[in-house]
This record gives sequence, C-alpha cells and structure tokens, in this order.
Amino acid sequence: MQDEKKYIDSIHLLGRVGTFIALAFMLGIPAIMCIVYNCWPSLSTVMTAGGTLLAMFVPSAFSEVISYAPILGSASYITFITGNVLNLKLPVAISAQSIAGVTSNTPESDAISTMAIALSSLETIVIIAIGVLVLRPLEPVLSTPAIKTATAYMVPALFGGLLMGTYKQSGKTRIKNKVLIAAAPIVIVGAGLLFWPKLANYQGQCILAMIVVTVAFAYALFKAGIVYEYDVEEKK
Amino acid sequence: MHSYLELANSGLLYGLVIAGLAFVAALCLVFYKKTYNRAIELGISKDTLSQIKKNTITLTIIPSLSIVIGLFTLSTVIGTPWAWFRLSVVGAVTYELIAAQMTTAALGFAEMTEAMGSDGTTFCAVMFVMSMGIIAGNVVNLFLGKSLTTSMAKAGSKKGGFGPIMNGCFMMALMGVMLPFQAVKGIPTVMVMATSLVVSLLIGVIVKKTGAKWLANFTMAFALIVGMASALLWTQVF
Repeated sequence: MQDEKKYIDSIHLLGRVGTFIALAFMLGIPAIMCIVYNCWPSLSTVMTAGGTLLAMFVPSAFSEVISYAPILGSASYITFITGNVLNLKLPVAISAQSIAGVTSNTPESDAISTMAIALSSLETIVIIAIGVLVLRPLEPVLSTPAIKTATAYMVPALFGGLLMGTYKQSGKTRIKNKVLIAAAPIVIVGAGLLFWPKLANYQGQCILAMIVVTVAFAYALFKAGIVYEYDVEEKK
Repeated sequence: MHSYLELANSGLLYGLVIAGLAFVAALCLVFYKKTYNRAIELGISKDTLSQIKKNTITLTIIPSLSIVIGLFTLSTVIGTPWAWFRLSVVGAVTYELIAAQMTTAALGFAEMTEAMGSDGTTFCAVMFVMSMGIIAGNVVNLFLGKSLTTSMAKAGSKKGGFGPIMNGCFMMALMGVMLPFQAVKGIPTVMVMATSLVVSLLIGVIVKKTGAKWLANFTMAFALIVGMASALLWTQVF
C-alpha cells in the first residue's frame, strides 16, 4: 500500500514537472525568437487573436481532461503534451488494456497504458523527424488522391476497430450487460444530431454531458440489478 | 527587420525546436522505463508486455504518417521547424491552420500568403497565439490530472459496488458520442467503420480457430489499414 502510494506520487510528480517544462518550451521558444530578433508583437494583437482561440478551446480542453484523464490515468501527462488524443493515444491505450486483459483505472491498466502511450509518442516524434528529413522527396507520394481519401477516413476506421476492444471483456471480474450502458449516449446523441444538425459542432461538450448522463443511466441500471460486477470463476 | 520567412526557417528556431523535442522524447523514455518496471512489479508477464509493444508500434505507424502529411501543408505556411514542433507537441494541423489564420487576420491580412510576405513580428505573433490557444489542456491537467485519476482508481477498487461500473462509463460515453458523430458524416464513413469492425471480428475468429495468438496483436493495425483502404471503394459506390 505504501509502495503503491509512493509510485503514484512519483509518477504524478514526474508528469507535473514534465508538463511544466513542456509548457515552458511552448511559450519560451516564441519568447526567445522575439528577444533575439527584436520582433515583439503588440499585446493587443496577441490578445485579440489569442483571446478568441482561448474562448474556443478552453471549454473543450476542460472537457477533454475530465473525459480522458480517467481512461488514461498517469498517461494523461504524456498524452496532453504530445496531443493526437482521439486518433492515436486512446486507441493505443485501449488496445494495450485489451491485450493485457485489464480494466480501466486499475494499477495494471495505468502502468501498461502509460508504457504504450510513451512508446507511441516516442515513435511519432521519430516518424515526424524522418518526415522533416525527407519532406520534399516524399511529398508527391503522400499527396496522391488515393492517400488523401484514405487518410480522411482514418478516424472512422479507428473507431470501427476499437468497438471490439471497448465491449470485449477478458478479466477475472466482468460487468454484466455492460454494452447496455452505451445505449443512453448513442440514442440521445443520435437523436440530437438528427433533429439539430448543428450539434455536430459541439463534440467536446457532448462528450462531457454524456459522461454525466451515462454514469446516471449506469447507476439506474445498477440499482435495478441489470448491470453488476461478477466474478467469472464464481459463475462457473 | 527580418522577414517572416527568414524567421520561420531560421537556424535558431531549428535549434530551439530540436531542444524542445529532445526534452519531450527524454520524458517519454523516462515514463516508458518507469511504467515498464512497474508493470513487471505488478505481475504482468514480459511476454504480454512484448505483445503490447509490438501492437503499439504497428498501430502508431499509420496515424503518425497522417501527421507527416499535415506537416507538408503546415510547413508551407509557418515554415518547417515550427510546423515540426507544433505537430509533435499537442497540435493538430486543423487547429494550427485556424490559429495561424486568426492571428494574421487580427493583424489585418486578408490571406495567409499576404502575411508571409510581411516582417518577423507577424511570425512571432503567430507563434505566440498558436501556443497560447493550445496549452489549456496541459494547464488543466497539471492541476486536475492527479485528483481525477486517483479518485477514479479508488472508486474502481471497491469490488461489487458501483465504482468498477462507473469506471467503464467514461469509455462508453466516448464511444456513445463518437459513433453517431461519425455516422452522420455519410454512408461511406459508416461503411468504413463497419469494414474496420468486421476485420477486427474476423481476426478474433481466426485467432480462436487457429490459435495464432500473434495475429491478435495486429488486430487494430489491420482494422485501421483495411478500413482506410476500403474508403477508396465506398466513396466510389456511395
């Protein structure tokens, strides 16, 4: 228990210090460029454009952290530093959890998700660096219409493949009728998009709202005895 | 006064970007080493960890290549080094283009290309605004990350209660939102999702029938590649 607490404290300290230094790089690089080249932009220009962006992105940043941090655990630090959450880091974490047969928010899932995401982030950094080196020669190949079409459909291809990993259960303890829990967000969001297409502009907010709805719905199913945790060994 | 393009492709910027990326890569390595050791301590076999590594490496290739494609677009507007940094750290090409466009519009330029012909101050403004707008997630995570993850882990550890069910709700809510959001984009999108799902189901069946467990490690990678390739067919049919 003491060992567990020590590990949790140390991994979160590493994440926090790492995030702080990464933030220093994000803002420090423009600052150094301004100092060296004496090119400071006016505060009003930065605030006019930056303020609008902040108004657009702060709500979705909140919803992303609240929605994904519980799934990612301590991997959330590396994930939010390196980005590409939905199209790369979440699939990698879910896939790793599925291979190890562990459920979210356990010490095991936290360790393997973080390990997989750290490896994936490192690989992406290397691939982009290679991309920079071979930028021009590679451009004609990766800009063909076929590649552009295929790339445009990457997210649905990922989510189609992830469906299995999300609903398949392989641990010793499982959740009875787990798939039913997803009915509430699917029906509500599906109906919402059908009757109010503008909802498509509010994906981040929808995820946040649906977490509340899904937890409430799951609680109702739990209280009704429809959804519950059971031990596979005992059932046999 | 230096020009926009001089700053955007300057040696100093390359140096700063390489330093920043070296830090992030080192951080990833430290996280990897620490969590690998932790997984061993928790009793996860080296064989399972090796399977996870193989799966992660194959699954990461295609999305990373799509980021490289974004790099081509972005580097034409903000130069190679800053595009390299932005796409390796937090950014996504759509956000970066919006941020760059909003900054140049605030400076009174009708087009990005017009701004690229201006001085270095415009480029510095673009860099600042792009960073400011995207750091919110990291700032929020810096303060809330630990409490969010540890409280969920505590709730999940109570056997038989609602905690373990609640832990699954986050993933269910995410999928419950993403599926309809993708589905309304049109029939080809639905077909791509279905193709990808069928591929992952088929691999599951093959693994079960033949016992070829190694194949299971590549389920997501195969589903992703076949799903994306099927888009070429579905966009022609529908």
